[in-house]
This record gives sequence, structure tokens and C-alpha cells, in this order.
Amino acid sequence: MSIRLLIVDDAPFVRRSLSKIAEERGWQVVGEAGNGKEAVDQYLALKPDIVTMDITMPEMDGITAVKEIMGRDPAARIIMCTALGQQDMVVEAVRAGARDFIVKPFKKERVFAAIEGVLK
Amino acid sequence: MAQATGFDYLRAFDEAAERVFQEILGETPAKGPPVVSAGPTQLQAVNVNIGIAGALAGHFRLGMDDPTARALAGAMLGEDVTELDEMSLSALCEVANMIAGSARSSLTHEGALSEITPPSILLGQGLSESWYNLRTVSVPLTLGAGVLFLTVGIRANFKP
Repeated sequence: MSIRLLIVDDAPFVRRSLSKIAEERGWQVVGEAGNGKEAVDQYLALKPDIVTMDITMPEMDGITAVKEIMGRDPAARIIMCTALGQQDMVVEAVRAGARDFIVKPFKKERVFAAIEGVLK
Repeated sequence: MAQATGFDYLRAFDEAAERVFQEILGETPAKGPPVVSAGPTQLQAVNVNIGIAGALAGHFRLGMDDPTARALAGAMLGEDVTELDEMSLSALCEVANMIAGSARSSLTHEGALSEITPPSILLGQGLSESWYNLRTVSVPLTLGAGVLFLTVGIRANFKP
């Protein structure tokens, strides 16, 4: 069964990079969001298997979006995407319910491992 | 009070750029000599600016000419870039973000906890920019894509 992904990042380049990595594995990108608010709306509408969530975004940040999503679906599987130097924020995201994190620039093997690990 | 030159902070950004370009392009940039300036600095055709605030305050800029910008964006996107559209500018912003984030991390470990702003882009020919009350230090970085100019103007904030 193909994994269904929702990719959340305010940078189009990052969304495209993750989409390419997902396609390489045969996963399906069911939605993309550019901020946390869109992410919550799309999560509820699409119910993806995995969400990759940026931390710093306009309108609603990724940590708030994780809290909103986990409040509505405690089984949600969310992986945080952090830039180098943002790892300290990951602790807060994990407390909010995120299962793992990947660091930009993405290494595809790490992305594969994180997503497949969370789905085990 | 002596004015900060920002020179002490250049190293953090310089080393961050080396890590990031090694990671994303598999290339180590060749560094030219740093240039210190107290006045307005001439901008390149494509410039990504990121602000720094907290224990440190100032700016970081990654500037390049148009062919270098297209070549760098193309290398990151894995395709030819003939004009700088939203996607290629996003790729350039991401490079600057990664460098600034990595430098921030190093400086934080040295006790200077600061935050970085989202990147902004300045496009144009013949522009110059002044960073109020800051000296700037600029270093050219040569990659296969072309020459990038990494410029920082940073001071430590006063602590009572």
C-alpha cells in the first residue's frame, strides 16, 4: 500500500524536494500546505498517513499545528522538518506529539528511515 | 565605545556556508580575502538577506550575479533554470536559511543566543545598501556555479 503524505512547509523549494523524495519511494503526496493553519485543515480533510511539518511558518507555526492536529487525532503521525540550528525546537514539538524529525538539507535515506520508522 | 566590525562573526557564517555547500552540492567553496567596509556596500544582482536579533543584532547577505543565481538554483532543483521564478528564488532563500541557521547554532553554542528572520530577496542592478551603525565584512566564495559574496554586519547587543 502506498504511503499517503501531507507536506507542510512555507518554502515551495522544500515542498518540491520532499515530493521528489516521496515519488522516488512510490509514496503519494496527497496534499501540500504553506502554513500551520492550512496544514490542520488539510489534515482533517485528507487524513494522510504521515505529515511532514516545518517549524517556522507564517500565520500558524508548526508546533501549534502539531498541537491542533494531535488534539483532534491523537493517532496522527507527524514528523518535524527543522533547519540546522533549530534542533532545540524539536523537543517542544516532540512534547506536542511529533514522532520524529528530519533536518534540512534533507538526506533521502534519513527521510525514508524516519517515515518508515514512524509507520512501523 | 569601539564599533563592532562583525569580523569575529564572519567565521561562523563562513564555516556554515562550507558545511551547507558540502552537504547540498558536494563542493567546498574556495574562499577569497575578506573585505571590511564601514559605508554602503554594492549589491549583486541577486541578494538574499536574513536579519539577526537577540544577543547579536545585524544582517547576513548572500549575493551573486544572475548567471550564478540560476546555476546555483538549477543545481539545487536538478534542472536547468533559465529565469529566476518563485521556485528558484525559494531554493536560493533556502540556501541562505540553512547557512544562517547553522551559523546561529554555532554562535548559540558560544553563548550568543539569537534568532534569524525569514529571508528577503533584493533583485536589481547598481543598488547599494547600508546597514545602520554596522561595519560589514564580505568574503567571496567560489563554487562551480560561480562566485557568491557572503556578507555579515553584526554587533553584540549591550548587556547591563
